[in-house]
This record gives sequence, C-alpha cells and structure tokens, in this order.
Amino acid sequence: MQRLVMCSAMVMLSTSMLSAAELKSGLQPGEHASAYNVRDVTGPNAGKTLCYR
Amino acid sequence: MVNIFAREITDELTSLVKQLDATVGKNKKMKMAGFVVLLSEDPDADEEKLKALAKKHKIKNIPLTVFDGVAGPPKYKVTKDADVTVLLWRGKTVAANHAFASGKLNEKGVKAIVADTKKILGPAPKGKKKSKKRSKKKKKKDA
Repeated sequence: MQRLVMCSAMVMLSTSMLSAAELKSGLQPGEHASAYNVRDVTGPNAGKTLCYR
Repeated sequence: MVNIFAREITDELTSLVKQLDATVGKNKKMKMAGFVVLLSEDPDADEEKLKALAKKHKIKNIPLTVFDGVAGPPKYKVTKDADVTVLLWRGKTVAANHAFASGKLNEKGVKAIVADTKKILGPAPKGKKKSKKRSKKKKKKDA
C-alpha cells in the first residue's frame, strides 16, 4: 500500500513538473501570424492604433 | 519580428525587454524589429506604466503597446496560464515560441529567447514557385 502511494505521488509530481516546463501558449512554429491592432504607447508611433505584423 | 505578449510588468519581463531592445538595436540593418504587447483590462492606466518603463530603462528600439483585453487577439491563442508569451516571426510565419507561467520567466529563459532571435534574421523565406512546366493534360488539350 505504501509503495502504491509513493508511486502515485511520484507520477503526480513528474506530471506537474512536465506541465510547468512545457507551457503551450500562442501560435506555434510554422503557423501564420495574422494581423491585429495594438495601441502604441512609446516610440515614433506613440498614440496611434496600428498593426505591427 | 519579436512579439512579446505580457500580462504584467515584472523585473524579469523588464530584463527581457532590455535585452531584446539591445539585440534589435544591434540588428537593425538586418531589419530585425520587435514590440511588446501588454494585455490589459485597463489600457489607460497601463499606458502610464509602459511610458515610465521606457523612460527608466531607455527602451528605444522596441515600441511598448497595449491591447485592450487580457485574453489577447483570439487568433493568437495566448493561454490564460501564460504570463509571458514570446513569438518570433520570420516573414509572416512563426519561427520560435517561448511561453512562461507567472513567475517562471528567468535569466535562462531570457537567454534562450535572445539566442532564438538568430532564427529570424535574414530575408523571409519565399513561397513555392509555380512550375512553368505544362501539364500533360493541358498539352493534349492544346494539341
């Protein structure tokens, strides 16, 4: 029983470590970056709403 | 193009922005560029924070911007668990991606992102050229 609990804990720990290291967010390599607008705060276009793509 | 999505301004994000600002500055002739997008619930308030950040750290080469909405542009699929998402594009295609949950971005991550900027240097890859050879079917039709 003790061995089973330890094994389960190790599996849970390794799974959580894996998910922390492999967070997937945003477009992935090979995907197309489409246009979207942002409001520029600094730089030569400050105050403008524009797309940087 | 380096596109940084962030949900909060932290010391680690500031370090990343400073290093990318320097990298973009060094590679301007190679047409490298970048911008920071703060995903915000209150863009007006966050604008002041970004102005202060740029002034304090002399960020000159990459514009700091705000996006109205913490979810970000829907087509970009920025997950709610990611505090920082960095996309590196070459042309209009993503060449590299780095994502970090809150508190997970560190100097090792920053170095990995800066190293990946090499992937977006140089001219954008061209699409497949159309073959000039005529198809057999068309040749038969013309005959």
